[in-house]
Amino acid sequence: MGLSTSLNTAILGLNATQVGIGVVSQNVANAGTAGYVRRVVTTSDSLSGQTVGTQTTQVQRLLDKIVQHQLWQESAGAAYTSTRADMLASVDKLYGAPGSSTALDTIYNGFTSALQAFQNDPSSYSLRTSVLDSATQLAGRLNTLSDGVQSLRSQAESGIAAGVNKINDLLGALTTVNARIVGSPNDPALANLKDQRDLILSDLSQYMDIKTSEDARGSTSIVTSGGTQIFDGRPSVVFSFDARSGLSPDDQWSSNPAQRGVGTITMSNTTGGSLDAIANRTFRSGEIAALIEMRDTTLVQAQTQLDEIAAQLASALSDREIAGTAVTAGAATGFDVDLTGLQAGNKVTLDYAVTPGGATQRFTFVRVDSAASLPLPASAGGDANNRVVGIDFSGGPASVAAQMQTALGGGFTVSNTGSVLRIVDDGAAGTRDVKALTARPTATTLSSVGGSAELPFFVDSGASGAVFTGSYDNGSQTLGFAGRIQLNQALVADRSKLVAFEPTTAQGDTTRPKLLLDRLTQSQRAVTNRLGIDGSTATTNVTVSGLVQRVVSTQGQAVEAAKRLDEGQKVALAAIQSRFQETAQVSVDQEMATLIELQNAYAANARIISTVKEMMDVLMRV
Amino acid sequence: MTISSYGSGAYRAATPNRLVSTRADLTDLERQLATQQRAETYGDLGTDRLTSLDLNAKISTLDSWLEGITRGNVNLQLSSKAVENYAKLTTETVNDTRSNTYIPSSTGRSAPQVLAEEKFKQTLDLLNTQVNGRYLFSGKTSDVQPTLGYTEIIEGDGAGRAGLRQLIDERRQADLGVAGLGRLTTGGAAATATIADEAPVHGYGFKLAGATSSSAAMTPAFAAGPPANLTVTVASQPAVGDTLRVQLTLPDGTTEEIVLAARATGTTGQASDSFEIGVDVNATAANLRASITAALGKEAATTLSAASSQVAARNFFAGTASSPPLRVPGPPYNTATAAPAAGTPANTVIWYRGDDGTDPARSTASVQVDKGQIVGTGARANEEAFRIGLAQFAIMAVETFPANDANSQSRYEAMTARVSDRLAFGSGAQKPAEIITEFGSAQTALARAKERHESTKNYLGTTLSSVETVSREEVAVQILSLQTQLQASYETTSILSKLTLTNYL
Repeated sequence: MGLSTSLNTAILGLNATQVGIGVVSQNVANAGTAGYVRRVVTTSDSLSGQTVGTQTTQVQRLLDKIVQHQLWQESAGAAYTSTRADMLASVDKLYGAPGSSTALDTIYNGFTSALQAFQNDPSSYSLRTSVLDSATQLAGRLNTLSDGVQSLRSQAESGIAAGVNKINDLLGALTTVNARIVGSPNDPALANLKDQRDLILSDLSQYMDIKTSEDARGSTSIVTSGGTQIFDGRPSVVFSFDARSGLSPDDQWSSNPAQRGVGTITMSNTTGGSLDAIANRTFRSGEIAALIEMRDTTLVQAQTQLDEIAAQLASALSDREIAGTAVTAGAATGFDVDLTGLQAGNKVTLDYAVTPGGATQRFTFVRVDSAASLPLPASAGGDANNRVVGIDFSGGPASVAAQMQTALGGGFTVSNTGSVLRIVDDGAAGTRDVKALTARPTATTLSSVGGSAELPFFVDSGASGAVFTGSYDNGSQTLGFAGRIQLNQALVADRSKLVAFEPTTAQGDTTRPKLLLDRLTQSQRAVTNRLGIDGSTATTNVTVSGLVQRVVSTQGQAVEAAKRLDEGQKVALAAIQSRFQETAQVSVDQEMATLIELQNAYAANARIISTVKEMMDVLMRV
Repeated sequence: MTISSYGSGAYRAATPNRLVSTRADLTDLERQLATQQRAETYGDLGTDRLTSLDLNAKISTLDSWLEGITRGNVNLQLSSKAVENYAKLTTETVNDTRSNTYIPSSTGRSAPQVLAEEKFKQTLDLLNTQVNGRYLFSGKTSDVQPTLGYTEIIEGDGAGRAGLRQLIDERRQADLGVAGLGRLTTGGAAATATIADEAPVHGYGFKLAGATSSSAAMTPAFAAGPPANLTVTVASQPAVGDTLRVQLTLPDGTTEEIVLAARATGTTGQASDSFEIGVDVNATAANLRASITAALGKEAATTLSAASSQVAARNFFAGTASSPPLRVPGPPYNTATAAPAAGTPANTVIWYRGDDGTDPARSTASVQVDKGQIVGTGARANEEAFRIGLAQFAIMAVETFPANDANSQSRYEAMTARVSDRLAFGSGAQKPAEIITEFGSAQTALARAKERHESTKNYLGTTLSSVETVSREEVAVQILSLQTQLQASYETTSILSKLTLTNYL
């Protein structure tokens, strides 16, 4: 080995140290830069012939690919849970602070308290006014809550639109960066380009759940966790979203475009085919999945719960209960009930028991006025012990009896005499036992001769102040009723109608005031299982007061659950983050240590050069 | 907190995030300290939210019961006071009329009568007691003033509706009859004297109830009828002092007896209480006949008149909108035979304007003091206890006793005797004390319920505050520990940030 070889090696060493110092300076300078991954220089010995030297200095990005993928998964999860938690917290805020004057339950309690005071002195003008004021406040509060829920749905809608745009933008940017990485594998700026690509992917993972893989050329491909490929060197699909504005309760998602009131995400592939991404459940995590879930499930259920409160509130005060009169026909026993006054949406209930020893079960028949309204939508509820059946009344009483007979099947005989319906059991055979037959028509007038104490206290402002009957004709009247419930303005115009159900009723008569209070606080109302309150799946009997409390509490529980989930997700994310940081983060101390090392190496190499020079000088002087 | 990081480099924020979230906890504790509220939403309240909802509802119900009790108490106290005052008025009138208070005067009214008029007006005021626009004695129609004013009740409305004065007058005419003998006919010839109820049978005037004689010389023969008649045969000349007693029933249910004593020939005396023994039985019988007529005439002018007012006033005050007062058919009234028939709201004053249902007066207004406990606090101005008093005050106020009328004193005494008798609220009549007792027990029920509710409310309030609010001490301790933790974190972070090799190169 000659002196010149040593000189060469030392010069290569100097070069390598210079590159090393350059990388250290880059690391230190970018210690705080977003998306910057720590780099190191690797030097290798080269042995060509008899010569040993430092060769091909390579700059490597130090990161753990597996942890990086986990990180993207978890950050999609975190975006999902935090979006849900944030939106649900807004719903929670709508219900008001516990015990505060704006809380839904406080306002409801205010209404029952006003009724309570009112029944003690029905003629008092101030007490009547306070009943009407608190009722207006309650109706207004329900309207506000309904509007709040719908505006959150609109926010979710525009959030989805923004998210979809962002995804398309990111995929576009990714195409450019990816092409440069593939096109120039020896570019000194390769590490920077890869940083940038990771940055884009990390950003993308906020919106949707992605899995990435890199092929031999360094090109990235992306599939969703559901298996749909969305990027392979260039975008495989283009997402589009037909955002709607100003959502209302009856705007709901459906796979049928004709029935859809909200936007849906369409994936168009390069061959021109398109798919509904929501129907295909393409988005399973990330911000967009959370927004879709809020818009189509969580907030829809919140609206259903509010609608149920409004509907029960209105019907409790307006629906009469006409018990059937017992009849016997031979050995068969049963009841007669007059169906006059029954309106679309009103119910006739039949309580019966399978004998011997069966528990009491119920059939609920709901009046509809058009065959087009049958079968009833799923929102009508019902379960094994309370079957809810729609009956088309447009064909006259005989047709009604025939439809009921079909619904009931054997063991019952249904007949009619004019509008009077008769249902009897099977008598001697003794397999069924009819317990009760009740018609529940809605009272439509405030006061009339022979009038009822029930009154249309709350009305549907959407149908120009029409009485609320829960009709299913032309769509369910209950849907979105919370946003339309209104105090009957005729009561405001004539407060005496709060008491007088007949022209001769004394102004101090307590019949109607007592009924109003009892119907809200004592009467059990059947609440359908669609509500999902307290996770109940069967028809629940609960007072209107109880319903309000349970809805508020269920909502609170959902918020709390979402928060807990979010906290859990954050812990998981933080754990992954710290693992990622262990390798990717720049530690200035480490860089400084490396710097000293490099400085020494540089000094040593320089020393070798100067030694070689001295030796050469000695040689020259010879 | 949303993770809004952009790229992996921002994950370096992990440690600062922990500091920020601890800082946020501290801010929340600070809010808790300031507001004393554990949470701002039901979501934050945790599993206690159902307790909070339930307790809030319960407390709100208790509050409304308590408010109802407070209002009910005010009404009850006022009602009770009004009835107590009324009871005092009736007692005073009884005392006023106890001794002989008749004083002939130009106006024909003695002092107790003038007082009675004031008491009548005062009673109307008491019955019209109003709290917050609510008439306490009007039953269910608590928005209607229960009684008319004094003038309208007594004098009528001047537009065709007859008042009490007219009804008394009509009844008196019907009771006294054309001859003023209380619808009895007298007669007889030779040695007999007869008295008979009018035929056909009717309900006005005197009704013969029997007769006795102290001697065999005069033998009364009484046929119960109806119509009843009495024939007295003077069989022989009676001795001086022999008496004939004739019992009469009056329309108000009282009975009177006229006692006619034989006096010696040539003596003088009141024809209304004695007759002269004549020269023979026929002459004696003729004297007896004249005496009977005079006695009946006087009795009719005094006791029958008083009884007549009683009946008329009783009917008048029993009148309500659904069953107007009974009136004597006529004119002419003095020959009326048909039973009294209900007037019409168009021709008779209906003094009571309130509700007149068949349910008990107490139940016309109620206070719900508990889930199942409803206390009746209502009253009607036409309850019997009030009707009796009003009728007696009104009779005294209406009647006049002219100084120049020989029967004035007797009639006055007949009236006052009846007034004091009625105001004693005897014979199963409702007494003011009964109403006061009922109000009293209602007040007790309210007080008990109030006590119960207040203690329950206190308990619930304590429980609720343990759910919804935080104790300052607890929060303060939490803040202190968090502060220590946060300070330590800051300190360590700051030390770590200084510990860099850069400083030592």
